[in-house]
Amino acid sequence: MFDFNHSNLDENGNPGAEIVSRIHDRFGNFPVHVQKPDLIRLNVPQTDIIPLLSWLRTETPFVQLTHLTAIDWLEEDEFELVYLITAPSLCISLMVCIRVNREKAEAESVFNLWLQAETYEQELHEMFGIHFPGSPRQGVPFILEGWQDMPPMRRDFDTVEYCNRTHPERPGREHHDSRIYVGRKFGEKGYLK
Amino acid sequence: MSLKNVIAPFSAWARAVQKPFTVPEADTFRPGADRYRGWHINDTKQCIGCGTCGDICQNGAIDMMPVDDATKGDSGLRPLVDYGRCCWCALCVDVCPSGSLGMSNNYIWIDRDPDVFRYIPGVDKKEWDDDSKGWRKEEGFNLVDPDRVPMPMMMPEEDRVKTWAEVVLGYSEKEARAEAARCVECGLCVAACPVHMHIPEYIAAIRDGQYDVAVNQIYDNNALPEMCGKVCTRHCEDVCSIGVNGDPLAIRWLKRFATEQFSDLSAVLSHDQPQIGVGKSVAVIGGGPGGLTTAFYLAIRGFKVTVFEALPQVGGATFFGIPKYRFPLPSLEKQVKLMTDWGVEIKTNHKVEADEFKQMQQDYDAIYVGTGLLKPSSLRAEGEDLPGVMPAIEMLIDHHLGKTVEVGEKVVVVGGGNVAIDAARISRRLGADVTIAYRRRMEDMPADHEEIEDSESEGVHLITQNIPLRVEQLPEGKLDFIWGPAEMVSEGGGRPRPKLVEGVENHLAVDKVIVAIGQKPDLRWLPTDVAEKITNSWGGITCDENGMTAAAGVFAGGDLVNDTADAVSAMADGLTAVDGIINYLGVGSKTEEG
Repeated sequence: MFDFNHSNLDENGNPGAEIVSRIHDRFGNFPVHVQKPDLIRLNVPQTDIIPLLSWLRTETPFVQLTHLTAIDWLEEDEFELVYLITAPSLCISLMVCIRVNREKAEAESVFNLWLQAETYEQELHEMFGIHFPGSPRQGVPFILEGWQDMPPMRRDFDTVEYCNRTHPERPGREHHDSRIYVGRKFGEKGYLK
Repeated sequence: MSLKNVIAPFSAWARAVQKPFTVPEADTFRPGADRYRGWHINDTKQCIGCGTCGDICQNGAIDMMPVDDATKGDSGLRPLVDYGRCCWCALCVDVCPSGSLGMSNNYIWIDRDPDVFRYIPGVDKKEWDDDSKGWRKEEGFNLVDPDRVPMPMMMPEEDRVKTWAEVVLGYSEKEARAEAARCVECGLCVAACPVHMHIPEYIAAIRDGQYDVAVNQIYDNNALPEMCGKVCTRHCEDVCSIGVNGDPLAIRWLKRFATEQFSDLSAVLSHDQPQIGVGKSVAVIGGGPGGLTTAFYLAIRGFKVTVFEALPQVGGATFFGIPKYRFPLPSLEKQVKLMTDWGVEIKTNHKVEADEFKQMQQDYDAIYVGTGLLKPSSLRAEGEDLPGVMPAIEMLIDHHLGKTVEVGEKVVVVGGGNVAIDAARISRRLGADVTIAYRRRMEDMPADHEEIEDSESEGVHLITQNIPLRVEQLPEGKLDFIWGPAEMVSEGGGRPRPKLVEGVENHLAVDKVIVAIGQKPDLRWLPTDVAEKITNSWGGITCDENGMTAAAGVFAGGDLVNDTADAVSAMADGLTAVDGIINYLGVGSKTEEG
């Protein structure tokens, strides 16, 4: 393991310059975006994710999986998986992002690198329907019991339609749209049409 | 059937001697975290019933229910939450424009009756109503942009006083659509607008780039929208729900934007009114906003309408009162052209006198009187008759009729309304050093606050809590404006009243004292018997709910009738008279528009 330290700042004082240049040397020129001085986003091809995370986990101070979540880019027919990898000794995090096809939503599990990934991957499977083959609790309910529908965090999941179907309105409901209600109360009229 | 299936039901009995699996929750109460999202709370005093919570709710869990009377600025509706559907996402709290809605961190409530889990927070009292913990909208976090798109100005402030050109540039298409996108379509503005314009609809049309739709919505009950788009007193913006914690929507500027998109209004506007007024004639005396409104909407229904205007140009106070750098003449002419295109006959330079009025009562089926307030209130201070002390209204009329107005080098304008500001800004442009003297505080000034700011940025000085004592003649035609300071005293709950501080006299040497402390009705032109019948204690006219005076067939509106004394209130009176005249003539049964 080589030395990372705060003296390795770039011209803007960003401590992440060191790790970015090393990633670029080793894995190629991924697009990099410095969100904040201590938070750097990398967009990497799906095929590079396991080699990159393995290397980070074993060869660099970026040893901690802080978070794993997903974004539904419905219009682009892709999910984005976001791995937040932290170097506790440097107080810097990397947001490593990959895109996976939305139709065949599948990604390699990182459960062998970080045991806690098992829970994140279980949750992503339940909420987005993203499959992580080999991850231990895929398909085991996380917080949804007996869920029969489309994974609810997918953006094409119609929440109000689901509500109407599974939680019928209680009898006696009435609703007054403020726009219409105010117009009626104050005698709004039209004189042209 | 296997042996296992036979035994299985009995195995459950083994649980009978074990401790229950369910958690005795009520005995081991654990408070929610500080920002836990529990049951809703609502500060119903702060809530304005805009219904944005219900609109954003992704589960359809919120109904708006009437709990109080609808007033300007409060629909009287309050949200009712159905917890059978709520998913505690808190979007309702995060979007709430007034910031009244929150969630307590209390999350435990056990009841056998499912229907109790529908309640109106803040109205149906709950034990967690006063919880300070729980989820609240975070300071500075807004789902709707609280900042108005700034209105670009034509030129730097210091250059404006050198020109009569319109100072407000108007929104670009991009700016207008961005501003329109801030609207939550609650409709509270509709209540506050005297003519109840379809504001959320035309703003939505602007947002969607459908400017022809917007203009048709606008013209549906506003016949002078470009005027309103430039100079309206905009009661709507006072009650805008976004304005509770941010800048209100620039409703006036958006209307201006929409109407300015079309140079030929008749090309985009259409109406489908049945011609119920054919064969009926109506005289409109006074071509102000109220009279023009009545004339326009009657004319498109087939009435033969003639407008009689004493001045060379219709528009009333919007023509002779409002300076051209706010409301240019071509803009007024464009709107009047649509009226004449659509059948309104206009006779200018035609002052109606008593005899002609008598004849009109014979010749026309109905008469609308909207001659406004033209008699200036006097200064009520010694020296008010000195040459050089002049009423603002006369100065404005002279100026707009193209007569030369001499203001000299130094002017004091007495008053705090829009007329005072207009007189001050015109005097600035005529090259004078101008001071406005107002009795009360700046926040009490009836003038539009933007107008006050603009006048100050144009170099107008403002002295508030200033009570004029007297005006004295100085050598070389100059005047000594002598005033005393006032302190504000509150008596009996009303707004604070200025009280003269005795024994202090301040002097201001000026060339002119322009008096802008209001105008009064002048109805001496009416036949005496009619005047006696229809005028009231302050010299104005009283109308019934149909806009009709005590004289049958004589309708009235505008500053003579209402106490708001602004253009849009006059237009509301004009609309009332449209309905009133149709009812009076008994031709309305064929049309019942909503």
